[in-house]
Amino acid sequence: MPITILMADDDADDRRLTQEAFEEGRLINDVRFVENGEQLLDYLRKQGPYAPPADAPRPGLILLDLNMPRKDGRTVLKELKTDPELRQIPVVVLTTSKADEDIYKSYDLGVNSYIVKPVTFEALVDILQTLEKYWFEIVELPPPKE
Amino acid sequence: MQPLPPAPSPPRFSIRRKIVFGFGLVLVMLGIIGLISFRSTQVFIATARSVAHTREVMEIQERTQRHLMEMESSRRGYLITGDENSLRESEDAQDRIVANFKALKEYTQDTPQQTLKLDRLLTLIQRSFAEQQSEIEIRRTQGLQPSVEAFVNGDSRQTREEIRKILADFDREQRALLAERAELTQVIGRATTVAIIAGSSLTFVALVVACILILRDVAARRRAEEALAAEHNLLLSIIDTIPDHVYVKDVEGRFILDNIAHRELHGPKTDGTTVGRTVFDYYQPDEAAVFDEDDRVVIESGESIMNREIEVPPQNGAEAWIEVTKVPLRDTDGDIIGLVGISADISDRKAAEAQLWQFASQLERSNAELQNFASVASHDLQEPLRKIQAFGDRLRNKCGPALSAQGLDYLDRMQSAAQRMQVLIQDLLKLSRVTSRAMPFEDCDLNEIVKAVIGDLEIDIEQKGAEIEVGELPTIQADPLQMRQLFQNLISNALKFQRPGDLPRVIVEGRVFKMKERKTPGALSGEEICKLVVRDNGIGFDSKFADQIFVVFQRLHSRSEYEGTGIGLAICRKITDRHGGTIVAKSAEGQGAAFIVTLPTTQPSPQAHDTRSHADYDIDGR
Repeated sequence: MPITILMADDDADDRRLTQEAFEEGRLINDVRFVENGEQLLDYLRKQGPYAPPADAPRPGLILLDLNMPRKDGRTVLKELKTDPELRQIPVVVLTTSKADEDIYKSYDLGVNSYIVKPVTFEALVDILQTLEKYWFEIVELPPPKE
Repeated sequence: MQPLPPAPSPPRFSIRRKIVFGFGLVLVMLGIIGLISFRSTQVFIATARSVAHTREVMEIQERTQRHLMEMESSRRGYLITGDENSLRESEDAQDRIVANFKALKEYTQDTPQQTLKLDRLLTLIQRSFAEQQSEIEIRRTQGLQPSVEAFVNGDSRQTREEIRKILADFDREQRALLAERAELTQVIGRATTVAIIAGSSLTFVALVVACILILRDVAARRRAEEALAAEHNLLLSIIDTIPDHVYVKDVEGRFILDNIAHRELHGPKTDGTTVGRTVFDYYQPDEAAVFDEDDRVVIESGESIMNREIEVPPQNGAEAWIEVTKVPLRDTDGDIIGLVGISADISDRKAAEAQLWQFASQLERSNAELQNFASVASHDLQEPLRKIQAFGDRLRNKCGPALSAQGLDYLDRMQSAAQRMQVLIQDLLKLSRVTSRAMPFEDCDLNEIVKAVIGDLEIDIEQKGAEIEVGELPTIQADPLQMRQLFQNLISNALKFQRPGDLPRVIVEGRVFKMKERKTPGALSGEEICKLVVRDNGIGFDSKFADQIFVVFQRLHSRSEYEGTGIGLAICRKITDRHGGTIVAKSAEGQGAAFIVTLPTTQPSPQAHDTRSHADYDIDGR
């Protein structure tokens, strides 16, 4: 069963480009998308539209945009990393912000990696391939609780 | 204004002391004269009395002598005649002699040697009496002859002679005494006269001197008082010319003195005078309490209140402010006896300040908005740009084969335009980072910095065969990264704007000098200025563009001739602005260019010329 990757991004273009990049990179992961912080937490906690029997497998990696409507990435990150159930899931921030402040803040909150969105599609494919290889082949993660 | 006349120096002795001393001296002298007169008079009286006494003694003595002679002649008469009447006369004379002698004895008690003589005389007289008695007895019993014999042969004659001698002696003595006493009287009289005249003269002189001294003092005092009054008037005139309120209060807060400005405002409320009144007579109780509290603080602590700004009730609907200074007033012993206050109406100043502050904050806000605009615009512009490029890539990769050659060309142009826009946006970001990413000023060795820049440009320099000559450069206080950026832009420009095929030659020089006048805007006179020149042998430019080239994205050449967006010199100008310096360009078409940078060698504070309003503002943050 392919590992699920959950991406939270309010930008439809970016979601589409990411989806295409996964395909272009021949990555077999189960990629799912949410559009804001609230949806992300609902998905992870299996609440609202994601309540059983909806299909919401626990992700092996979360790609998180920082600037999102309703609940932004910083707040979500804080909640994720203080939730004993969810904090083992690796979170990688994927954002357009290069601000030092965002980088510091994200690592302070316990983010696992911080990546600035690349300009070209090829670079994005490259990044996703690297992420997949790193988190699912190199790194040892705690076994899923389910 | 005339200088004040010098205050007369205070006399060495106070007028009071002079009066007391002068008149005391006169009194003492008068006392002495009185005493002398009294003593002289006493002596005079005593002397006169003793003269009279002496005369009396002499009279008695003469009488005694006469009686002695009477007694003798009557006794002789008896001796011759045997007449008992003569005998009685003799006895009467004898009685008178005895009486006189007693008087004489009494009178001469004051002169012992005369007393001695009298004692002797008494003895002789008694003896004479006895001898005469015996002669009388002889006459009575034996008759005339024996008694004459006894008279002639007896001792009585001798005794009588002796008595006469003593009396004569006594008389002489008494005369001498009289003369002596008369002389003494005269001497004392003269001495007294002299003493009184001398004393009176001295007293007169002392009085005159004392009067002169006192009059002189009084005159000096009057002059001093006049000078003081003049000074007082001058001070009053001065404080009256002050438009602010100037007043003096006692320790109870009552006005003692004030200037016209204060009096004209408040006087009419209290019968034209403010003296003896307090702030409670002129202000609302709560307002007056504020002023009164300040007075109390100054009087109790002895510390001044300087330039305290107090808001007072609005005047004509506008905010009203006063600035108050209160200083304790001390007497010559240093005890606080009140306070001196000045209060100025600073409503206009405050209004101007408020307006200025408003302008400043407006400016700050609009600056911040501009910064924010630049940043947000840059980011938000970059987002869609990124998409254009990304989907352009997708289009080329996925649908490339389906596009015609013309379609592919359009796609190329779209993508290169997008890329160019990205460069422009990044350049804008660079420009705004001059202030948003400013680092504190520190000592920068410009030699090191230029060396590093040349290192960075090494490839370009080698490719173009450029020659770069760097003179000795100073060390100044600056933002090192921005200095590096400044030289990087200037030197790379010098390398870039060359005729194809020419070997670039760049000269970098610097020197430090003192500013004499405020020639350079932003630079203070007297401050040390560092002048840096980057000169090249390139294409130069028409001097009419000398200002234009520093404007953002202003270019003098097409991109096909010389690449670049036209941000480099704009950044240079922003950097020199931030450092409180200037940059100007001098050139002529085809004759190379010189860029002259002036920078202060020291910076007043680490961020002195930082025009940023929000220190933490980050242009790259979304």
